[in-house]
Amino acid sequence: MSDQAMAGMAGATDALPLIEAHGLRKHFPILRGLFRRQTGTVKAVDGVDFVIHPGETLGLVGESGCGKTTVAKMVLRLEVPSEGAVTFRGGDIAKLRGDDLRRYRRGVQAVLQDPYTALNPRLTVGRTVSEPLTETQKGIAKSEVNERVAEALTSVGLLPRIAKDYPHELSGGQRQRVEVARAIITRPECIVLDEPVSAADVSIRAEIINLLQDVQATLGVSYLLISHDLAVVQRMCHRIAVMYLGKFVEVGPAREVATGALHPYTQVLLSNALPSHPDDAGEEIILTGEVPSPRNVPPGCPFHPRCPIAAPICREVVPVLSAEGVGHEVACHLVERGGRNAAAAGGAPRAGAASEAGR
Amino acid sequence: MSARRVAQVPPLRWVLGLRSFWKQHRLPPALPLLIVIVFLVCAVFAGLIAPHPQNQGELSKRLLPPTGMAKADSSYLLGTDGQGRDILSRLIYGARMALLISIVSIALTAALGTFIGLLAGLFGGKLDMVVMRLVDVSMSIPAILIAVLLAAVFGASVQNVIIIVIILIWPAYARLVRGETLSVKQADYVALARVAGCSRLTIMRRHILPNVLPTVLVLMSLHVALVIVMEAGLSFLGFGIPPKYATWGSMIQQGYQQLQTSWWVAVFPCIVIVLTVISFNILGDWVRDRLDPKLRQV
Ligand SMILES: Nc1ncnc2c1ncn2[C@@H]1O[C@H](COP(=O)(O)OP(=O)(O)OP(=O)(O)O)[C@@H](O)[C@H]1O
Ligand SMILES: [Mg+2]
Repeated sequence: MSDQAMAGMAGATDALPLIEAHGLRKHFPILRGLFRRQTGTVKAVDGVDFVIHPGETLGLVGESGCGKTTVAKMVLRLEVPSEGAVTFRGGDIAKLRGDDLRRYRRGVQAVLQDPYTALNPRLTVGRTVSEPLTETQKGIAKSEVNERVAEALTSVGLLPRIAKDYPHELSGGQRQRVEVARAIITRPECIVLDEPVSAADVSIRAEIINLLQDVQATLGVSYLLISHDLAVVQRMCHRIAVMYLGKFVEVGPAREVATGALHPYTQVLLSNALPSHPDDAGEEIILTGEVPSPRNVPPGCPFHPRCPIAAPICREVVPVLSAEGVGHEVACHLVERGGRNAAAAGGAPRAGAASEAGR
Repeated sequence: MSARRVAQVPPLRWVLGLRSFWKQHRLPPALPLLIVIVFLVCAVFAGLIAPHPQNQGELSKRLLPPTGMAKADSSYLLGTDGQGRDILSRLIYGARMALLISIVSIALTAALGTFIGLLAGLFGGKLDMVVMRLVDVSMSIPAILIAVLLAAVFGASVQNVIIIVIILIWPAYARLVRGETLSVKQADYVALARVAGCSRLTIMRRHILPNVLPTVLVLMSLHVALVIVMEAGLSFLGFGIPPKYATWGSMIQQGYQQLQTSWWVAVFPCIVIVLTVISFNILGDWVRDRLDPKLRQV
């Protein structure tokens, strides 16, 4: 765990960022009635910034409906941001055309949640796996495609002859491996993993996580990992971003977020996620208040109606992310400046923290 | 004992072998296939097969009963109608007309409706709204009214029957394909195809159309039956094919008044229609099963 965190740190300072999101917003209009009048907006993603460095895994956690998939879709250029931009190697992906677009498509691939709808039932495994290659490298020789397909299938632990099969002939675990093979065939630099294991059986889950870790170790690929499962995120990520109603409420190194969470929402998530030992004195914090909806975001801090420690200021002023440690940012009015964060970050001086967060 | 077994086994094994071959290769159900093949052969080679012309009868040979009944003439296997025309020959020529109308109108409609439905489903918005209103309007107009109206305005002709059929069944294709497109569009593999770098056209061709097509083919094969019935209905009402061509519908129309005295004039075309329609329906289901890899045996 600690050497993974170190790798993440090293990436954070040494190399150029691979993917950056600047002020990302996605607002969906709510249309009603015969004339489709707009009666409101869903603020699915509401001002999000993040960086993914080469070889790094950024985890995205949060409740259902908080906008994780929408972030992933914007990174994959499947949704156009209402505001803000995603850059790949410094270039705005919305402006990519022709060869540049194909280079980006080769560089950023995806594995999605449901292995049953992720594979076109009418294409053989070979066709599915080779598609990212043949679509982004037009005119590539057939023999090379076959070689690369066999190589990709082998590296996810499948036999190359499975290429002739159709998806309905495969088990759930095999499908998931086929998805991974497809995602790595172009030798991408980043793979977006949207809940890659939440549809899988528990037995397959560990296998797939191991596979993803092996792939990262051999290819040096970055991951944007989306998951409900904090245990998975803690195990795989260098940094974690906690999302609530379209905003990041806490971002930081995985171990710090997991052990020294500063935002009350993160603390709630952790208390629900950790396996409860009988001799564990820590009690589970139960959330009260109405379930949040991005259609109707409360004023002030979006979390205040459910927050166990909400103060009057929380109802009026929207908190912004501010540095509380090395690369650790929190959006909460009530986190004690300098006090708890110093302990959580191992006594890092505040000046260093500010410059780190000001990237 | 052993001699008996030897005598018994070969035919049994032959039948079983054929059956397992049939099953293994998932061939269509044999009887409906046979009926459809006979139908197709009759339709295509009507001029060669039919023993008599479709429209010239001998008045001296009016209402001859089918072979096997008293007073039957052996050169008229299924008897003759009120104008002395051979029923069998008219059934064979009727198959030709039924096939012509079905193939032309269904092929045109399926292409048109699928195209419209795909566009509406893929692009949505105003186009989708306009198409769906048109579909609603087309579907809410009573079919027979349009048919009678068109026949009254343009007169009875083969083209008009085809136009009527197209107007009546295109909404089914547009609506079906639009719905299928909308649901297929949601599938993760379409999103992943975009991530893989596929163009819109490639996605439509490789990922959406092949997953929509089986349902279109099933609808097409079910529509063969419907169109045969429609054409028969129109001809029965006198709004369909001009009388110089033999059609099953007009044969029933000409025969139903003499049902009590000369039943064969109307009953044979009825039987032929029912057999053909059922066979096409069964084959339609088979087409769907065959095209759906989920149902395909490994
Ligand atoms: N195309 C769309 N039109 C309108 N609203 C949308 C659309 N896509 C997403 N939303 C809304 O945006 C919000 C965020 O959705 P998103 O799918 O990003 O959530 P999520 O965090 O991935 O949730 P889950 O964990 O359930 O997958 C939801 O309230 C959803 O209803
Ligand atoms: Mg999601």
